[in-house]
Amino acid sequence: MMDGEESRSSGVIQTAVAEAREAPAEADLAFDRLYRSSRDDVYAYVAGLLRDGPAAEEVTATAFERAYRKRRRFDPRRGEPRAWLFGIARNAALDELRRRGRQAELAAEPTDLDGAAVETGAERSEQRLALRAALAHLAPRDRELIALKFFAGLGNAEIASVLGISESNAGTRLHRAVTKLREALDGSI
Amino acid sequence: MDRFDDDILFAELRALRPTPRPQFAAELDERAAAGFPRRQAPSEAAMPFALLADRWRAMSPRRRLMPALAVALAALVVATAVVAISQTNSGTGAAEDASLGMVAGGKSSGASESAAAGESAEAQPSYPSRAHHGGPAGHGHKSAGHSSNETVYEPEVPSVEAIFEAEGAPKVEKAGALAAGHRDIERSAYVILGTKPGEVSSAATKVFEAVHAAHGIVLHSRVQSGSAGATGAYFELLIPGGKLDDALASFSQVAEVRERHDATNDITAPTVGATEELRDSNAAIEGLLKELGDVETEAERESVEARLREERRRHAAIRASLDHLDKRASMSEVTVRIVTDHGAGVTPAPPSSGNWGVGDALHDAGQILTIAAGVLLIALAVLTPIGLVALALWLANRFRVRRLRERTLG
Repeated sequence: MMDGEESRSSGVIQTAVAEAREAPAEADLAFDRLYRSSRDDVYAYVAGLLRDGPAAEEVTATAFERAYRKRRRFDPRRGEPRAWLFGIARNAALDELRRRGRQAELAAEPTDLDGAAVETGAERSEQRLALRAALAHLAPRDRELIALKFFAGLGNAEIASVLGISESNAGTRLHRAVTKLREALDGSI
Repeated sequence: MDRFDDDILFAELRALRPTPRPQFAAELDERAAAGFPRRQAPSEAAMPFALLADRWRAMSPRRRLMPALAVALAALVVATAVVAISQTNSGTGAAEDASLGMVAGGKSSGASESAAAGESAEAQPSYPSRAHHGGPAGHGHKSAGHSSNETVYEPEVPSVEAIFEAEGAPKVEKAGALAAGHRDIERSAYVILGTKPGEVSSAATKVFEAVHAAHGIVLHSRVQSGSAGATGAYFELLIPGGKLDDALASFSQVAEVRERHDATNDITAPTVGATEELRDSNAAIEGLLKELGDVETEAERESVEARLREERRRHAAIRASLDHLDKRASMSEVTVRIVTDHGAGVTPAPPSSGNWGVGDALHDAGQILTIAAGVLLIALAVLTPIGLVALALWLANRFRVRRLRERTLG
């Protein structure tokens, strides 16, 4: 009887210890899930913003590295993990732009964007060519909104969280960016 | 070309989404699996700091609080210890100063009392002295605060009265002697002798012998001997004024003299004043006695007897005061300390020399808490403005970086 109780309590203790040991790993597991679900989205957003493939790769890696180092400081009460990750990626991208003085190049045509979708479908489509030209003529701030919405697939609430504005403001800005894109597209067509 | 409708436009935009190169994606996956190791190899010197910085950055704010508090607590403990130790060191001096102040205070109060009577006090450099003039009246020496390994040597020394009888003249004759140019000088001395730890006991014995040779009195002694640890000795002595120089010379031969202070104090004026008061009191008593012989009524007799009693009390007080002054003039206070290289010597026993108890513990704890509170207060006073400035700078820098980032987008 005693042996049974002892083994039960020992099992409970072992489980508690195991849980305690696993507790720190929970943040790692959560980050791993976030990484797997967001890797391509982050790259797409950064590439859409920077319009430079190698630079986008560098910034994407830096963003994940920073996020990984800060993973235990993430506070779920302050927003969604994806919004937090994209905030870090945005800062890294803007830092990169600032560091390299690429502001003037933002309006230029992308030099290297390795996108299968871009290479396969868009090159054959006149509409897509026009769309890419229209995107290139958009202001960086509007292009960022387009990238967050359509390249990264964020919702308006997440975009608002990334940009530090209200959700309605994010929706309004997005609508304006799409309108400008459409105007640019109409102009090119 | 037809105008895009919303659905087509959005679909086309999604189709333009850049995708990472498979090679880059594979490399990033590898780095993710490895926990994103640093890409730039830090220099060897910077490596520990980089690792620490990484760990610090990875910590949650709540976890950062613990090491920060630990560092703050450690700093507080260290600062408290440093302040306490420095206070103890200066406190020894302060205690000596305080004891000097006590003695000097006694002297200065005496001096101030005497100043009214025209005494000129010449206080020499500081020396601790705890000799009690109203001390032992009997033979031998009084020793207090013995330590467990104390060596006590009890030479036969003459009593104070015997010394006074041998040296002192009748009190009432003092005034005449003083009028003839004699000065009453109170002398005192403080000697620190240095010796090896193993020679403390023999040095102490030589001190006792020197006191005996000078017909002095050991008021208090404390000897702690041994081959290691805090060893040393402490003596409070009364040496006849006429033999003080001989005694000091003998002490100098016991061991190396590391410090010596001599002090003199002219107590002629209070002695003369007390002598004259005593003479007046004698005359008053004689007058009252004559008056008592002439009284006729019972009431007058009682009145005179009452005045006589009062005058006799006053006479006794003046006589005691004069005796005290005579003792100060005829016996010199000498403090001898034997110190060793391994210890600071035996410290003077506190007035209430007893075992260290709960009261002392509470007192010490209170002192340490007071020091800690003081250190904390000073640290807050220093760090608060620095912290506020740092916070303001951090916020300003954060705002600046944010603005620069936003400006990047135009």
